[in-house]
Amino acid sequence: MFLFLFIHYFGNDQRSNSLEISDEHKDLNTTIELLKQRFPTLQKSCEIASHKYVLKLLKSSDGFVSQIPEYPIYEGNTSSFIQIGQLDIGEISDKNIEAEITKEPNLQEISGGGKIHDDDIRYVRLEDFKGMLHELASELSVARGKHVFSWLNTILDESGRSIDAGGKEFSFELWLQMLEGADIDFDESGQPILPTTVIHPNMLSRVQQVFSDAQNDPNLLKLEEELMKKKREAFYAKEANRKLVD
Amino acid sequence: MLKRQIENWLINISEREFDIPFRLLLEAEGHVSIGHSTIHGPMELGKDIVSYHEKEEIFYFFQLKAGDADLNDWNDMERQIRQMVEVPYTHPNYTVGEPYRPIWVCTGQLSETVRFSLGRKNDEYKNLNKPHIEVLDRNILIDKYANAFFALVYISDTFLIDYLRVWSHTSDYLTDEANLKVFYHNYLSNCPLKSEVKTKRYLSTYSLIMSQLSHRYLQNLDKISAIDCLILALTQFYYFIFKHHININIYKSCYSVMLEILYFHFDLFLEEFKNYPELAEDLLANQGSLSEIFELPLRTHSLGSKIALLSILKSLQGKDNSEENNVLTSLIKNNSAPYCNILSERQMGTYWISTIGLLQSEDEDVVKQYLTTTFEWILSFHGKGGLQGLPDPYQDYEIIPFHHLWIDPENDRLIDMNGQSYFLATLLKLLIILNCKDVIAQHWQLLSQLLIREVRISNPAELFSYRTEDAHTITYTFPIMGSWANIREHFSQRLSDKFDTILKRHPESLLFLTLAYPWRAQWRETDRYIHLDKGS
Repeated sequence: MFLFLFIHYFGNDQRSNSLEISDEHKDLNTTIELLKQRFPTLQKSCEIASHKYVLKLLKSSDGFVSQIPEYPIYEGNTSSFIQIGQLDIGEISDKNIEAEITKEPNLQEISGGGKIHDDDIRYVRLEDFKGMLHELASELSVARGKHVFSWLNTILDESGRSIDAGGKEFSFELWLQMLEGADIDFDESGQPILPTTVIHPNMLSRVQQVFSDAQNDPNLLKLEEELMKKKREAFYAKEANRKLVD
Repeated sequence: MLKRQIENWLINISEREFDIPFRLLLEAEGHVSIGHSTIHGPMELGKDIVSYHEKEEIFYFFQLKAGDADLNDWNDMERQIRQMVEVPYTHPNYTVGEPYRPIWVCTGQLSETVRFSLGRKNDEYKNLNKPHIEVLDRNILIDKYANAFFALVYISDTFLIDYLRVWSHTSDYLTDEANLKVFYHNYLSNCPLKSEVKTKRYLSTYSLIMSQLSHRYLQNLDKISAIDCLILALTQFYYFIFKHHININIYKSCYSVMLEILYFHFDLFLEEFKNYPELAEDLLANQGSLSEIFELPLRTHSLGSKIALLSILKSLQGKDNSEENNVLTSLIKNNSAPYCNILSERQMGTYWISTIGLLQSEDEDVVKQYLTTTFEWILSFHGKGGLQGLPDPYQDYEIIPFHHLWIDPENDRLIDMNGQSYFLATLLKLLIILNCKDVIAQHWQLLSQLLIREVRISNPAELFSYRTEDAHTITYTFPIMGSWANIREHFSQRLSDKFDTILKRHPESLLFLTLAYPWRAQWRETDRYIHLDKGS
């Protein structure tokens, strides 16, 4: 999934929002505004620095989303992921050709905003300026997280990898059922490289309890071991097929 | 002022150097040049330039002469006039017999004898039905050039392209600063030194160039960049004349013209405050961008330092500077926070000049308050872990956002200035002048742990260079138990005697230097510009 970051900036300038300024004063105000010296090179460097700062904040926020590899798109705004010889998700065909690339845009725009008051600028309150950027980064992080999970849900549903717990609580059996549907790689020593698990904060205590209880339940541990054995064999079989044939 | 500048240039220019500017003047007046002599000698047949005026539908033959024309020149002159009028011009675009106007162009004045002789020649040609010789002497040329000032280039071939590039790409001073610096330096480096006449001529062209460039900013309604451009040109000029020990008689006339241009721009600049007093009230830009928090302090310093500079210059000349002082006081009072809360050590120059200006008019206690606020503000960037000090004064202003966000810039690097400062020396000098012992004592705990950096230059000329190899960096430390007496003694130092000649002749030079190259602010010479009796 690719994200398009769009950073809004807006200040809190009550004077410019006033509807009470007369035409005569409006011209005077405009003239005075035009006489105020600007620093284009500083404007540009501030934009670049602020942008980098916000991206740095984004990277360090939201551990799970930050782990998703990022890659910029330099041209166009659509993308596809195709395995050669296979078809797109959901498509059924007996033709031995590449599936047509879809043209619908799949980039999502996210935006965030921050406020800084006139007085903060007048008194050169640099901490408030940074605070504004943190606020902006935080909004971007929330928006990005929402899109990521929304998109994930769609993908998982379409690929048949989502499981409906039917309103039941989280259990170790449910956990094993989820692992059953996942691709699991193994390292050189045969240990599983388990995928990152993301849960809602409200579930934390329940999940911790479930795993703690499972350590004391030989039946559950046996089920887990059998699953891992099955997955290991599937992995080795897959890797054994990693060769080029005619 | 402009005509004086042009006159000064015409007085000093050679015939060869006059060629391009004169042809450009003709173009500005609607002529189309169809030929000019590339070799000046017997083969030119009395016609240095031939042009055609499309509206008047007539050809012009020009003979150029530099300098005054007196009786000694008349023989040569007469020969050339005869050639100009009597020898047919051969060119595919000209048919012999077509009407033409012969014009004698002289960058100087014609003596009475020459005018009389020329008059007789014209009577002779009248009887022969030949066109009479017209003359463009210096006075006429001054008017013509003044009218066409912005359409002309006065510079020689060597630097023409560089000049046009700089002129056509003007944006604002900070954007253009690097290019202007290189251009001025390269131009002055090429100045002939062996002949005083040539040096004088070259420098008078330099004054025209700087005038044109500053006017270019005016065309863009940027009075501030116009002033900054001139200050940079003057600073480079100082470096040149001091380095090569140029005799004052050689540069005096063009230097006084340069200062006149600067004062002209200052008048325009100050006029804005007269027309719009609100400009000194609140410098916050209502339609500001994300960077306004960084631009506002720079804007305050830029305006304040220029008003202060004008005030100090007038004070040095014994002129009334009350108007400037009133504007400065109002400006700083209404924008005290962006004035005191500096963002970069590079503002040490503008701060130094603005404070000296304030001391001319403002109540001492008010200035002490400003100084104390700035002192405490600067110290707040030092000491604890995680702080990075303020940006190095040698780094451009563009580094400011990167430094304060501690993000790697693209074309520079981050420098951790925690615990070291160039600006502190200037600030301490000002605090000591105002006897702010308590303020310094209050912050001694931190201050005594800081390093004060300074670049010492022993060669007076090199002081005015942008960067020099002839410099020595000193790092000062304080003793754990400080002595007020020792500190006062240290900060009572002046520049060595070697600088006396320059500073007595041009006391304003250090002020221009400080605005052009802020890291060169000379705290040792603060007392030169302050007329206060501070006592012990």
